[in-house]
Amino acid sequence: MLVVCLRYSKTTAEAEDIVQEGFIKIFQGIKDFRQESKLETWITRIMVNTALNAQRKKLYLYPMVDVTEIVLPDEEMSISGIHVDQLLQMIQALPQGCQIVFNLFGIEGYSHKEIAEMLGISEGTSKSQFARAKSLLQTRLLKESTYYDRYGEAKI
Amino acid sequence: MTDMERRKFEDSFKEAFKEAEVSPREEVWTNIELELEKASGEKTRRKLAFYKLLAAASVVFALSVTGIGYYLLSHNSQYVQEIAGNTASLDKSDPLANRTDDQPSLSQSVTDQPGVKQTPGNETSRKNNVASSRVKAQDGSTMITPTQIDETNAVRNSDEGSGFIAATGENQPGPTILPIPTDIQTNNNGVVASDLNGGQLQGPSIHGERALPQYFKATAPTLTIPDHQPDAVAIMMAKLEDDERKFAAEEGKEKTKNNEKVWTSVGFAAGGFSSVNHSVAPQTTMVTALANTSVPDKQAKANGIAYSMGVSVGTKIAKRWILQGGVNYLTQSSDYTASNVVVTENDYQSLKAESINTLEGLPLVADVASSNKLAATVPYSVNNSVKFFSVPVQAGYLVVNKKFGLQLNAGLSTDLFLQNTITPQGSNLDKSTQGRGDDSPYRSVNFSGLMGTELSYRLGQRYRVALNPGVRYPLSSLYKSDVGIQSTPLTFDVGLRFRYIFQ
Repeated sequence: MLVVCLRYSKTTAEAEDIVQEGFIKIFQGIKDFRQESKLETWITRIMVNTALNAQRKKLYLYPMVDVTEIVLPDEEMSISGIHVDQLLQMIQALPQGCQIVFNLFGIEGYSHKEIAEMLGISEGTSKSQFARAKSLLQTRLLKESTYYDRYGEAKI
Repeated sequence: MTDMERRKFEDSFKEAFKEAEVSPREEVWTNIELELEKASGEKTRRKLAFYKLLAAASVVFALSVTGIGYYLLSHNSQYVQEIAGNTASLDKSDPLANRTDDQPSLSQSVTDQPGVKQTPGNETSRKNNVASSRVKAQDGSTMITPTQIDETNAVRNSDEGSGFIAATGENQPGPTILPIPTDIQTNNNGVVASDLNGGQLQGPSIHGERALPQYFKATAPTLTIPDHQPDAVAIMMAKLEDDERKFAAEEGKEKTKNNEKVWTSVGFAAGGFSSVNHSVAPQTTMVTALANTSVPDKQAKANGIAYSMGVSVGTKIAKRWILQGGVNYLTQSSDYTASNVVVTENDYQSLKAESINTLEGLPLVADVASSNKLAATVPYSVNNSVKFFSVPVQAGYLVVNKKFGLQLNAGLSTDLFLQNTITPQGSNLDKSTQGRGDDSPYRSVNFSGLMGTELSYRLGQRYRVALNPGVRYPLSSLYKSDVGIQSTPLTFDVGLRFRYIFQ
């Protein structure tokens, strides 16, 4: 669960706070858990909600806007061979809005409509934020791969 | 980048994170545990607070109920007056009396009559007057008698068109409040005259302006409900009135029962005393070479029994405050051991027990030629009894004043020293008494503080029996200051009092 929270936060301490709060909610609300979904899913949902609550304040300070200029690299990017830690760092490095939208859409699998409702933004904003997140991530990935490529060559 | 690729990209992220696990630090779990504990603790606390609140609320409720009960009981007189007032006003404002007669036949016939207006007024007395003074019949055929009016249910218009009030004799049910025209116009027949002074009623039982009490009374039975149907409101009102009367009567009884204003009581009390604060100063004047200096000490510090009997009167000065005073005969008796006898006037036949009284008269060590002296003997027991006449005045607060009573008393008692009797237990020794006066080591007048409670139970109308534990503490020593012996015995006694309540 800490990974989930880490994805939604910038630092480990922040994630731990969210985990803590989330688990308290889970323990207090476990009696309300109906066997409709998998426990893991339920717990994850609570964590995500807790994380969103925690980040809402920041989102208020840095409102999300539609991003129009998105440059997507043409190259196919693969994350295979990149450690989860690095991916996490990349996600954490994303701007606040992008990070959350990317998590919700890309990893949690919510639709843009759902995200828009959850965060109180428009669907378009959600889409553009996701696109921006993706673009930024891909740029980072590209950098990483070239970095490795270079050093890989050098090593050889 | 195609859509597929995009989806692939996201899925790859999803995959990458699916199995990813990072363990949080131990502190996180500890914190979670602590937080959970705190939360559950808060819940218990909240529950506890709720119960506390509940308890407090119930106490408040009980107190308020008691308070209201008290208030009602103690405001009996006011309450009874109020009820009496209500009853009176109820009598006056009997809804039935105010009922305007709306019997169709009556009102219709009146309104039909030309030049005659219906009076909506319902004051019977006024009606009477008007009836007697204003209505004038022209000839003998149109006369009005109270009984006739009483029985009349309609004011009929005569065939000739001349308005007159006719006694029809129809015994119609329902109220027969006669509408009297206030503005009677004299028609061409002159049947009804509006002249008040000239009004003359030609009837066998109505004469001039005489008041008609019989008539007034006679209207009472006509105040029945139309159609002979029992009116629910009337029944209810009557019942309420009845209830109130009963209640008022009961309250009145209660009032006389609970009214304790002046009482007298007779009682006795028994208890013990102990000299909590005593001291004996070395006195050159009384200590002789042979004297056992510990005697005054022994006598002063001896613990003993105390009993008293007396009468008192009490009165209530406020709702909860009482004042009581009386007279008491108080005895404090204690034993001490002496080991000397006092020889008076060299008369060895008359030996007295060693006591503060006798030591007072003993000479100084040097004065061996003195007539009084001490002689050592085997230790013997001496009974020391001090008698007082006390006049206590106490103020009391009634905590509970019902059949069971609880009263807190505090006051001051003036103790007049009567006498001290020294009774040696051994033989051959004379009993000696010491009265009040200049030569007495005892103070003639002393003051004591009194404090106590009185638990009482009322027996019938006039009696109350009370148990009153209390303490008595002298404000100054029993002995005169020049004697050098300090003795302020604290007395605790439990009294039983019978109280007779005058009113």
